[in-house]
Amino acid sequence: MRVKCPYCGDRDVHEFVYRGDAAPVRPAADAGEAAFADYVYLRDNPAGPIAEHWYHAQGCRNWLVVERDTRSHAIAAVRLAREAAR
Amino acid sequence: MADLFLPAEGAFAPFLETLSPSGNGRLVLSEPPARGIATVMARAGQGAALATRMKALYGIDVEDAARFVTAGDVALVGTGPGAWLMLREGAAPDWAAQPAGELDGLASVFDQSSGYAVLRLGGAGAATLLSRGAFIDMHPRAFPVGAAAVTVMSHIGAILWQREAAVYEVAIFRSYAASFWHWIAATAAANGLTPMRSA
Ligand SMILES: [Zn+2]
Repeated sequence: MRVKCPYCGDRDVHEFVYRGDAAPVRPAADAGEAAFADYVYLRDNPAGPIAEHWYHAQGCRNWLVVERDTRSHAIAAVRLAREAAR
Repeated sequence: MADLFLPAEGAFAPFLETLSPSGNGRLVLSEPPARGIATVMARAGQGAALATRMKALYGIDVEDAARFVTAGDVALVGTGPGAWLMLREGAAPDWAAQPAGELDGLASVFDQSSGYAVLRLGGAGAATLLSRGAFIDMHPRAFPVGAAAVTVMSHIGAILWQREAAVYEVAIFRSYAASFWHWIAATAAANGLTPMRSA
């Protein structure tokens, strides 16, 4: 499996560290325990496209947002997380 | 009492001494002349101002990309968005204080001169050897002169670039020099390459 890093180009998957779903957003500090439990533990398990965080540890050392189809591992898009966050 | 002066000793020097200075020239290994090495990381939103400042100071065209660019005695190797390895030929041991001051407010500059060992690989077999270690396409069409990459070779973090046709340089953390040399020797042998050192 190869991941096309926006900075480094096409790289083998062993250069990356996988983190998981990029969708959860940290709740406000006063959101309460239930909201934080959801944020920390609850994940969707989609059969299809998902946006995920990957870290290019053995490359540019940047966090990426990778849009991957869980059924085929086909990657539709890769962006720098710092740009995806804007 | 005479001043105590320790000359800079390349991390690969003891290994290069074991090679013959003559051979078929398909893989020629050497250490580049002593140079200063520092990381340069742009402060948030200061990328354009940093490029302008470095152009004025060093005459170099900064590229925010995985590229090797050089001007005079300064070179930049792109290592990530807004991040470079800066090389300066013949720099004094305390050289990095100067660019740190000159680029103050635009970038963070940290000396790495003693942290990295740099090996130069030349000859028609150099790209073949590197392609056995880096999981990237080393063909000149994919990795031409001026290309740079941060990757891993034999489990060792490596920054490599092609500085001129069929002349590559690889920077690794200095304490890995013996391990990296072991990989070079084994991989060269497995690919029918007999490394020689530049005379
Ligand atoms: Zn990368």
